[in-house]
Amino acid sequence: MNSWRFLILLSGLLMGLFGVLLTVWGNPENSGICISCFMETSAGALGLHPNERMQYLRPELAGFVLGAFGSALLAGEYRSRGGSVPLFRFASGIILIIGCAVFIGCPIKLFLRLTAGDLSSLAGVFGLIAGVWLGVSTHRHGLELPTPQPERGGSGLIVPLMALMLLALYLLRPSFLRFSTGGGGVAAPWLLSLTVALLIGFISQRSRFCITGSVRDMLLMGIRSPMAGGFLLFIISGSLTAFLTGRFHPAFYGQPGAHTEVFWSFLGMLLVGWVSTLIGGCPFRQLVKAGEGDADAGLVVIGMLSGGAIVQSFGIAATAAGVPLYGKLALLLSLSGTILAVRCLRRAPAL
Amino acid sequence: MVNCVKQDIFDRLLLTAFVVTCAALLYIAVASPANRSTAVTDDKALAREGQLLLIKTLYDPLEKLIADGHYQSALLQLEELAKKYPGEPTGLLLRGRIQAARGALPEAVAGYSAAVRANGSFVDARSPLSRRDEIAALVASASQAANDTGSAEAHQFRQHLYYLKSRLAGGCE
Repeated sequence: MNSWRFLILLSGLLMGLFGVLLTVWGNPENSGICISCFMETSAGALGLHPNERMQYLRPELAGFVLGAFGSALLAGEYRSRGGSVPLFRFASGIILIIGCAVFIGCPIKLFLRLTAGDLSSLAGVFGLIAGVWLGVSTHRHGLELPTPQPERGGSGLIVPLMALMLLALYLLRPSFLRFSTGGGGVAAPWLLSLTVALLIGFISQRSRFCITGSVRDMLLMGIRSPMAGGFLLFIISGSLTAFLTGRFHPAFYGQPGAHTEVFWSFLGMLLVGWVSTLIGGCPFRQLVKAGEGDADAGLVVIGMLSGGAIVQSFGIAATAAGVPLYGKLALLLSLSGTILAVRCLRRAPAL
Repeated sequence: MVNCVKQDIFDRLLLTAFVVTCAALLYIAVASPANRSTAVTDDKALAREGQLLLIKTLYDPLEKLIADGHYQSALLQLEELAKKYPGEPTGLLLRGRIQAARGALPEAVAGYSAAVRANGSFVDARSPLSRRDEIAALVASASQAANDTGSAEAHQFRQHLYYLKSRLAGGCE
């Protein structure tokens, strides 16, 4: 086994293990690692939305970015790059969070919910697979976003510096920051969360591990693709840890942070799978790429933070009570916007 | 990485200005704690304290009435309070408690569900408003009573019950 394959397996193992352990240590149930939840709570902590139960500046976000940054620097892979349809990527960040908010969770949380026995997440699994398949088909039919170009200057440093600044804000706790005491604001000890996130960010930068990337590779190359091993290990380690820590409760109803509107769950994750495949990675992968100097991925990250504020401010985010009307409208609007963008980008003349 | 070119006087000026700005930032942020305004947090803490006090003043006598079994009087007073504070979550919760005590489980579960939707603190173990144990006990007894008939009422009952179960299980909102 070569070292890259080993790193992929290690990424999957760590993500499954710590994805569950972080909930044991205090993160919300089934949300040990959830990029969309973290974006929403961080936006709330910065005062960007009024939901008092979703406000906590997540050190995990800074950890993923800084871990990837450190790893890229050490491996000599840090490259400041960007300039590939930036506004589309920013909008994609917002759309990703809308899809995740309707489902309640990013692709990582989707599988963490599944490993904890949440059968309602199966609709999301099918949606994600369909979305990734749609993304692959879109590529096959001629849409390939331009490769980010090397940039002079340090625009690739902006997101790692922002991560550092958010971490400093977390530690200094200025009075304008808001912290919930319940709901999505409950958290594992910050030093533990940060250490885990730094480690996962570091390893995932080396391995390029990504949930939608794994699904895409399995659709294209089958179960023998290198990413498939990491993905399966993620599922196995998550399931085992959930089982051993008493967090495995197989049921369709009454699951933590979940609703049973399967059609909207399917559609939400379809959108996430599709957009993630188009922009080259799931929300987690965008954080890692932003850490290694990709300013375009950085714009996706800023779009995701904006999305976190939008879904909570406008009443788009689903809850255990179901998907609100604005959530359904926002999802359909995002889906139609994506279809239109794909149509336009396919027809755009090559530069 | 950032391209390295020979530094000119402007680069040195920029670097000096950067160091000076950072030093000023650090000084103001760390060395002058007295300058840090706590107005926002103070206001929020005050609002929370005020809300808790109001809830205690309004509903403590009602809780006593319910505990003593004077459900009709409690319901009348709840009606009066609901006119003054429509949709107030504690009122919804107490109405649910009365219905549970009277054996009207579907109505009780609907009342608790409405209360938790309006204020999630009821299911937080550490909140001063926590009614977690009470809600868990209701869910346990209602789960046994829930049947699989296809009527609209039974469906509504199950929906409220699943909602409460999900909220008790935790997770993001």
